[in-house]
Amino acid sequence: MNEEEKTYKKLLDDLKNLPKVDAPKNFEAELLRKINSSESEKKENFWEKWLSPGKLAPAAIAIASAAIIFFVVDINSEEMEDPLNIAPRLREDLAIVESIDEIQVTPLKKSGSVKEETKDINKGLLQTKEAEGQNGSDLGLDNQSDMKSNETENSISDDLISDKSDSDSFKAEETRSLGGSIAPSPVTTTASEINKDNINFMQRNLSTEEKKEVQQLKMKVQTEKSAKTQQNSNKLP
Amino acid sequence: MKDRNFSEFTDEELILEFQCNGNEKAFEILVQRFKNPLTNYVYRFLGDYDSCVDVVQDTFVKVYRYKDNYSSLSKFSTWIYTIAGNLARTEYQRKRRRNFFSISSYGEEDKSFDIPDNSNRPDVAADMSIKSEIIQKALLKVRDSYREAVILRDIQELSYEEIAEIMKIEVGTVKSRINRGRAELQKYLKDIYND
Repeated sequence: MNEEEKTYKKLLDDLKNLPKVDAPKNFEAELLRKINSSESEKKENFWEKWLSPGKLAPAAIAIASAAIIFFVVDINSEEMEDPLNIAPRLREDLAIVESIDEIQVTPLKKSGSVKEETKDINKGLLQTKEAEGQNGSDLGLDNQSDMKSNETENSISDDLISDKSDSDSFKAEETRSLGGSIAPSPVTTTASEINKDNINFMQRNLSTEEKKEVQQLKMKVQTEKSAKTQQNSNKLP
Repeated sequence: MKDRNFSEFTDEELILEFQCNGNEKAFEILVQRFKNPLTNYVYRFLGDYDSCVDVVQDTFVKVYRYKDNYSSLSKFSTWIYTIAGNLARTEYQRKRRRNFFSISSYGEEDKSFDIPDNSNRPDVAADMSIKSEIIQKALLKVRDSYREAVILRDIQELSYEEIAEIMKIEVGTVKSRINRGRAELQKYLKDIYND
């Protein structure tokens, strides 16, 4: 016995002599009942855990939503309706025609006007061809490529000069007419027929003074170009 | 023949028999061996016989259900005392919270209020003296960790090593806790020991 125990001797004796508390007589029976109940609770808990409405409801909702998505939406379905194969809807407001003779044929105004326009365009193209031919013969060029380039330049300048209108405004009606010729339609023209005459994107009608200025500028550019070429040729050994 | 031999088995052999073969007779013998020491230990810790019996029964239920958690490296007694101690501590805290909200709010702060129910009290049944009742009340005033150590050492008479294993602390800590617990207890019982 150490000193500490000596100091608490009385206390320790009293603690040791405290009456022993025993378990009740029915302790084992109660214990057995508790063990059995805990076992049954354990088994119930397993099924309750998975079959409780708290867990079943979200699972059921998830399954139902998945089924809806699969059958209703079905994005990747191959049986998608082809819009071209869908039969047209019957319109009840239209009168049913039993024979073709009953159908009244009315002349379409628009189609007639389109035809007239195409005629005008063709005429315009013929005129441009004739004008190009005349220009080429007047110049007397033998080389076809040189002739073409000159033709285009001349045609632009001639057209610019010969244009009667002095206004600079853009007019929708004048878009097809330029210098007596008609702007070519992409359907009726070929690649050989296209020239600068027909590529007036701005569709702008210049006054005579402006046309002269343009021609002077062109002349200047040409003289500058020729001077440069001469200089380059002189520099080279 | 085999059942007769079980009573000669050590605690560790019995729990191994119950673990490996599921022999419930081995478990019953363990219950018979430990029901009274555990009841005494838990009662001294809680101071309430009814809840003490519940705690001890819960301890055995846990042993029954989680028998596989026992490892043969430690003594069975320390394992079962650890379970009982943990459950007793939980019950004591639960009781204290309940008393705090129900009874303590009406009275003085330091006083503990034991509702007298002498019908099931073993101390009354065993003709317990007033002194032991005073000691028990004083014991309940001691801090939980000190009280547990004092009960295990001075009432249950376990070794320091066993207490250290049960409380999962160092032996030195056990000794200091026991010493402090005793000092506290003596302070509360100074009227008795001064005489």
